Amino acid sequence: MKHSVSLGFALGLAGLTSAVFAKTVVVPTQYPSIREAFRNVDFGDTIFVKAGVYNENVKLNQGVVLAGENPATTIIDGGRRGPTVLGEAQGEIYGFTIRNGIDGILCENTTPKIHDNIIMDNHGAGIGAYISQPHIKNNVIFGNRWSGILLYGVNAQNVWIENNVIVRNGYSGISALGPGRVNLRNNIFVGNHEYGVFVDKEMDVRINNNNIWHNYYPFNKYAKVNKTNLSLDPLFISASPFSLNLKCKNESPMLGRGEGKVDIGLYDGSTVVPDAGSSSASDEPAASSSESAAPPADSESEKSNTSKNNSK
Amino acid sequence: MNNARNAALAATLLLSGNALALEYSKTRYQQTDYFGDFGTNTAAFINPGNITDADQTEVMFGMYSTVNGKAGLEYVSGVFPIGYNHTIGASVFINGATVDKTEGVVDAGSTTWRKDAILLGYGYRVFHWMTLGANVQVLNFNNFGDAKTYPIATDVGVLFNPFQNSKTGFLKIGGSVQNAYQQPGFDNTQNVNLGVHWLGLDRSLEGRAEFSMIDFTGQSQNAWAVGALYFMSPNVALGGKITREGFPMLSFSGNAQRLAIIRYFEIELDISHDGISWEDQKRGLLWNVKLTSRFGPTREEVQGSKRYTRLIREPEEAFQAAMKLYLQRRFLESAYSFGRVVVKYPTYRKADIASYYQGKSLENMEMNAVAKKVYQTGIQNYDASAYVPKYYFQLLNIAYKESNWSEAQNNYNIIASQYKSSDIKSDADYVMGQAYFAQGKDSESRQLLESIGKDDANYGYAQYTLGQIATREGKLEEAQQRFEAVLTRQPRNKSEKDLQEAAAVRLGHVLYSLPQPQLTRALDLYTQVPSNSSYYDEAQLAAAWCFVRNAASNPKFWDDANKHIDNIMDKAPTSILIPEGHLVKGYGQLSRKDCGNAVKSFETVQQMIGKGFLTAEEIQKKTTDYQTATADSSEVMEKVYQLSLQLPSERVLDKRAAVKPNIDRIATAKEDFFKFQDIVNKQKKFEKDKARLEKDATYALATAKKCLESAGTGGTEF
Repeated sequence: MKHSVSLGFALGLAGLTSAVFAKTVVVPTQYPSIREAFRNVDFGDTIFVKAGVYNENVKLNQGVVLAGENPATTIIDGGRRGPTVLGEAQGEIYGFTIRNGIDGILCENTTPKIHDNIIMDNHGAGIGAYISQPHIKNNVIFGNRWSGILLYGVNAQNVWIENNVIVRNGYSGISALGPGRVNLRNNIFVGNHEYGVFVDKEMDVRINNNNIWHNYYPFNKYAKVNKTNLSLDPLFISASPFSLNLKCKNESPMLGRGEGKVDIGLYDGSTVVPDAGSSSASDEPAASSSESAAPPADSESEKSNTSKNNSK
Repeated sequence: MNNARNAALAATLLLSGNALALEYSKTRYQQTDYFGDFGTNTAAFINPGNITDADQTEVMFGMYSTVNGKAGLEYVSGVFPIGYNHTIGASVFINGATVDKTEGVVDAGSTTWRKDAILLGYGYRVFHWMTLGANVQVLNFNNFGDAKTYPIATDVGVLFNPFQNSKTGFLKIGGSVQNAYQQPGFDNTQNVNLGVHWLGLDRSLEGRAEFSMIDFTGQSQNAWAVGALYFMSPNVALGGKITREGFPMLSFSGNAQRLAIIRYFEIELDISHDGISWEDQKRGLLWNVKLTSRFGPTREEVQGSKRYTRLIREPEEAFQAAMKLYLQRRFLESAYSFGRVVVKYPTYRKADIASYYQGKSLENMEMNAVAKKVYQTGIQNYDASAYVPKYYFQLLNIAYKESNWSEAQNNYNIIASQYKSSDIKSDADYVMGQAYFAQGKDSESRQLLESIGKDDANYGYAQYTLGQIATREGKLEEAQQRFEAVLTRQPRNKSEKDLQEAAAVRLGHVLYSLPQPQLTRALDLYTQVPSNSSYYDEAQLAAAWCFVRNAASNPKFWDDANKHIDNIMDKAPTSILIPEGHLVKGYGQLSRKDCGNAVKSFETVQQMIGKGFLTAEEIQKKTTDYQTATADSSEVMEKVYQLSLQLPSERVLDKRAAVKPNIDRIATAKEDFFKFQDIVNKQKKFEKDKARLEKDATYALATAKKCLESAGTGGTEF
């Protein structure tokens, strides 16, 4: 049976009704903790969290937006007790540093939106998504002990993993395992300790317009990295954890090189770009002679490839 | 192996600082550089808690040697992570020597000295910042033939990881007690080891410091070691260390990943020269090699696979749990549970079915308005689903129940045109046929109902309605056949049993009405209807009339008729047919010239007709009460619908609990009102027969009174 299911369909009516009465609550002004705020909100509401460190493990609620004041200064610290944030269907989280959990954000059979966060220093994966349809956009995923993003059995038909900067994670930047389908575009993978992109043979991953640079290996043989992908120094403003700013400098080759002519990596604008399959060129195999082509999988060193790229 | 066999000798040489001092020293057997180096991570010899750091099956081989072959040791270790928190390890140290007797070292009749150890270790991550570990060691000790024993000892350790982040790096602080317990014959010192290990700057710099109190329960002496390693690239590192025995060493490390089945391979080499040690022992170049390989899935992959396996079953389990509630007719709970399946698992292959049963659950609670929403949403969201015609059918069914004939027609048209090969088509034909019948469109109804085949579950119902149509059209022979068709089927459920009872009564009426009445068969059918049937009163009255019809020829039949009337009064005392029962009784009494009682019976009929069952005021009041009690019905229905589409958070559960009393109140009001409406409907039917009854009762009463008067004057014959 084929379902034409899209993210957020199921509560269409409920959402509309609730949206009329949607409210915003503020932490810590109205509620001392994020968890306490979640106990007092409904579908369609927003929890706005002011800057500060919140030592909590948070479970998102369905249809509730959790908004941080500033991703650099609004911090949820999971205290190594479990996932820092547990995803929920149609939940949304943005504007936080999410750190020190086992997983940064854990999604099990769920469909959250995760965007504009810094997910770092977690002791498992930065984001672990199992049989879920997460929309992961514009996040920094940095220095997590295991994979930056672990996707297991994810079948993301209409959602994207886009414009994320995935740096220095213990295993791969992204590990896509089990059967499923994932769309990756406009992401930057740098300095991950195994692969930039690792794809299981059962997983169908569309990989367009990403920059995969200076990982232990760029990607494995099942990752269909076509010539729209790059392998260039993204020229981050600062990759030091003491002054972390993974936006790209003005002279970065990432600007305007993403799918839909948006920037690769963190992007301030809207990332509404053409849907998967709209560009026939994107399905062509990688051409290593191209200036912008990504390095070949596994064996060849990225360094030599990058040098080749830079020399042109 | 010669090197290995000389290990004990070498150890002694190293430790004593005297190349010729060949006396065995138990003091530092487990505190030599090899144990210190080799044991740090994998073998867990220094701190058994360390092995929890391994996130993958790891096999390590280590070898220490001097170029001149004076000393050596071999070592193999394996570590196996289990789940997220458990790790086990096993290590084998091969340590021994065969000494040339000419050196005059021993005089024990044997040239072999061995002290091999087998370790089994276990580490448990108590918290993510603290690990406990323990080893059990078995020693194979042969001191030049003096003894060959297998004593056991244990080590215990604790490891703390106060921080682990990109800024400050990864810090481990550990403490352990070696040989915390040892059997007699193990014969080693008890040592306390403290260690610090730091890895930082994006894993590019590693530092280590260790401090040991050797034989802390006896002649305590200390040892320390420090080292650092810098990764110039992810593959290559250089560093240096000062060993426990004071050797400055140069360290090199190189690694590669994903080499066929080996996920990670590392070679570490430490080299030094005796000439640069604190005291030159004339042993030349010293070297120490460690090879580390990791195999198989990582903890992340194993945990991920387990989690995936669990999660892939989760929707099915949730669906089955919801279905169980539905089958138990716990419709509110099943509506919530199916809603959860729909929302939580939108890509689950049965999400469309869950949505369908969510609607059915609501429909079963008479929440038709919101059930329609569910079906309409299902049609929209699962447009390729095999359940789409079922959604349309339920919409048709609701429209039929609400007598919304145009909507019923629209939904039926969709099924008939777009899903004519669907298995729901015959159900749709039946319901639409019923809808036509209810509208008095007998020919349209007949056309649809006649298309329902014998094998179809609706066949009996269709035949019943066709029997009613035939009766209405005066086609008694056909009606007889239709009702017979219902009765010849084996009922599979209560609904079909009810249908057969109704058919029996209808067929009885047909047989009674034939030009040549078949009263015996009719009576047989009437008396088959059980007392708990809703057709019981009608069947009993009809049975009574069968006897009355022949009572002229056999007056005893009045008694039989009376028995059936008494059955109604006894088993169905609120029946609207009781006035007619009294009428029949009166006729019987009159026939027996029991005129006084006959007068009473006919007067009772008149009184009951006059009074009726319900007054207009009563009906109005009940209706008003019902409307008041269910005024918020739409609002409550909408709440239930919304809540059925919200995942059960604490707050949502509170809301569900809050709305429950309102649901119960409305359900009770509806149930009461439906029962009341049934009475009202019967009253309407009664009103239709009222004129006939009144006329009959009036005439019969006059006759009875006349009879009574005549009885007083000598009697009159009828």
